[in-house]
Amino acid sequence: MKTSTFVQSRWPGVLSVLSVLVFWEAACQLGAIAPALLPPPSAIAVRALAFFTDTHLLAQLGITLQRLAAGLALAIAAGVIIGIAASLFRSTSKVLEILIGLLAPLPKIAIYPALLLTLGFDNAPKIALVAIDAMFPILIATFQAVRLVNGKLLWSAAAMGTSRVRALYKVILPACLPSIITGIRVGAVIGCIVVLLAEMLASTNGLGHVLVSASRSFRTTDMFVPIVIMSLVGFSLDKALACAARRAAHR
Amino acid sequence: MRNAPNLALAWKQLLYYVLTATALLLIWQVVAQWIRADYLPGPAVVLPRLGDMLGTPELWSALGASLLRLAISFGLALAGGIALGLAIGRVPLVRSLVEPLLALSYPIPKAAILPIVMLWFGAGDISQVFVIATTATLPIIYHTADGAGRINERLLWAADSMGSTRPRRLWRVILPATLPEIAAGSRTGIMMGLIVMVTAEMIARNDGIGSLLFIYFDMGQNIDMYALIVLLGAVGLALDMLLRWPMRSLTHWATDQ
Amino acid sequence: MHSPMAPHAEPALRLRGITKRFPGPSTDFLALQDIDLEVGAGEFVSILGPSGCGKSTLLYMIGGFIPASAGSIQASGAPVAGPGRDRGVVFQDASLFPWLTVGDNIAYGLREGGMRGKQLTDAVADMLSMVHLSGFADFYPGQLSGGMRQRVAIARTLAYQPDILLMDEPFGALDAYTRSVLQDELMHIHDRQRKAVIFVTHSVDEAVYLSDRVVVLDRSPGRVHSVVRIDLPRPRIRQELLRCDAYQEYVIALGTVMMDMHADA
Repeated sequence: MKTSTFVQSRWPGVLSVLSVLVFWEAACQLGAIAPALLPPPSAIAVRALAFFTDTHLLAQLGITLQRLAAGLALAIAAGVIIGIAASLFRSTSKVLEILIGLLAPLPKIAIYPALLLTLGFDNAPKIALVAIDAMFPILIATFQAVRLVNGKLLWSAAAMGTSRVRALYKVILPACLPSIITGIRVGAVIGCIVVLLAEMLASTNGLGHVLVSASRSFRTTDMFVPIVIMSLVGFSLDKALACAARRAAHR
Repeated sequence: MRNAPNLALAWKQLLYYVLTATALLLIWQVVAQWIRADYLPGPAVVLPRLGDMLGTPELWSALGASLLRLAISFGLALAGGIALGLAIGRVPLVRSLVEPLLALSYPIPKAAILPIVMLWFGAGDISQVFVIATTATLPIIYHTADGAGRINERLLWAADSMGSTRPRRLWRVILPATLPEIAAGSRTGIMMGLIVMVTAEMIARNDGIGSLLFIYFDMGQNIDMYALIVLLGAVGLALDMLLRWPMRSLTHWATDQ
Repeated sequence: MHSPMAPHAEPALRLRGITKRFPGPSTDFLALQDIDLEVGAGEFVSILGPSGCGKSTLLYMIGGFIPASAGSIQASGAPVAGPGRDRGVVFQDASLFPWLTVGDNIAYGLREGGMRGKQLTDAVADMLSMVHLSGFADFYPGQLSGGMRQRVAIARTLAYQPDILLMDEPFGALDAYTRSVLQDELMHIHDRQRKAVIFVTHSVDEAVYLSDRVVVLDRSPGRVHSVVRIDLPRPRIRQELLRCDAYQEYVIALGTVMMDMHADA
């Protein structure tokens, strides 16, 4: 008889998102907003769907996603390994803390021209930038999680005769997994943003390049599509990883 | 008396930072000498070049333009963020209507919408300020809303019973009580703003450090380019420190509890 | 069981048929039912009861922070519609503003009343000396002990001279020694200022020691179980009272009532 509280708590949100879209659409249809400046959501949706039937454009999406995947893979590997390794000893912990404090405030995008210089113009600088940008949240999350692991967990494992490495594997990592996944979640969203930006700044292919060439030809609707797609990718990764973190926490 | 141990800790922290930075510079120098290539000059040439550049008006006008842009954007982000954050934190209806919209905007790359924004506001500062401000304001909104929503109700009751009207209560109780969270959000906000500022300048190529960075890259002035990267690192670090220590004096009471 | 008419002509506080219902998942929770109470100007009334009997809820309704489900509350002749400067409150955790100094905390209510300048600083200094905290004006609440914080809370509330003082187990979180010191200080202040006080507590000793009348509240739902007039002379001196038979009898009687209520639960 009672409406599910899930729906009840969400209807104002759904309502506000829908009303924004409706208002936007109406304003465009009524001519209040010039379509060259801000196309209606219907037009964007149509173009986005058309995108998926265009093999050339799909290839660009593929290129972008490949770069994203490669960069994230590197970021996860480096972040988790360094995070765990550094947290094992007090001296290395301190050094890592200082390093993070020193390097985190630097806008990593500033390194991009140097990456272009040293790694060329193709995939490598983009993958590298994604890796560097996404690595920090993953590294910090892993580092903090492992340090925080209850000493008792380690004690009881030792009491049962597990070696230190096995303890790491069987006890620490499962306990830290939710936090690590949350760090990866943040890194993934950052990665989506960074790969698009990197391609916008210096690329001859990928979604970012699609955006930039659309802006040069003033095709406004086409400019929205890469943003919408990458936002959706980021949104999906965010939700999927949040789910994974919850699962990991309940095991 | 209470500040003495904090000051000693600050110096110790600074020492660690200087030592680690020196170590990084040494590693960089070693790698640069070993590779011996145009595309990776070492700090031995980059740092002196940076010193020279700091004596030129060109650099300072670029840096000034960037920092002014950041300051204005951050000011707008702070004002809007605090206002919206307080509304979300104190008025449940506002929260349920606005929060989903904010959550939706989180994965949208703000700097990537700059070309679109430039169609609306032109290629000048307004577009860049718009993009930087909207990025910086998000963490401020979230932190402010969180802090404002978690205020001890009895503090508000005490103010009510002493005759505070709603507006006075907002100014004299809610705002000070939320200040620690606002400070935390501001630190995140300005760092994100810095990143978006550099990116936006790279895209718009008007003025500012980000634009200069790519100009040097295009023209093959590698040493100048690396010098700017070091400068940006220093600017980021300075901003981080700047927002950390003065905040302490405003919010010391929050940690004393 | 009805409350005897308070000795003075116009009661400072009059409650009629106060009922409080909290909505619940399946049925509503009846916290308080049909409370009648009158408190005379200058009278010290304790509300005594086991935990969960709604005494704090009752106090908050008098304070105007929570609306009543039924019934009426009149304070100083006017119906209570919300919080007001005529009813000052002291909470169990002091609820001082942590970002303000002791002096600024005490000045808060005075500032709301429009006081400024030298008059303000003098008033704050007076209050500080009244609670024996002169010299602590520039300290922050985070630097004070629990007992000192309660003193500041009392000073803050009394500073702007409300007609009625509402106190919600103000000494409950303190150690026994500090508690007895503050009880004596409170009585000393009350003897001089003669404002109506409504004091919520679950301690029988405290209720008997401090009050002119003790209202015992039953629970589930909260109802007035009994009202006991404490006929002990003022000023109340602890050492003498502890040896006084009448005092001990009050404590035993009320203690028995409380235990019976616990047993019935």
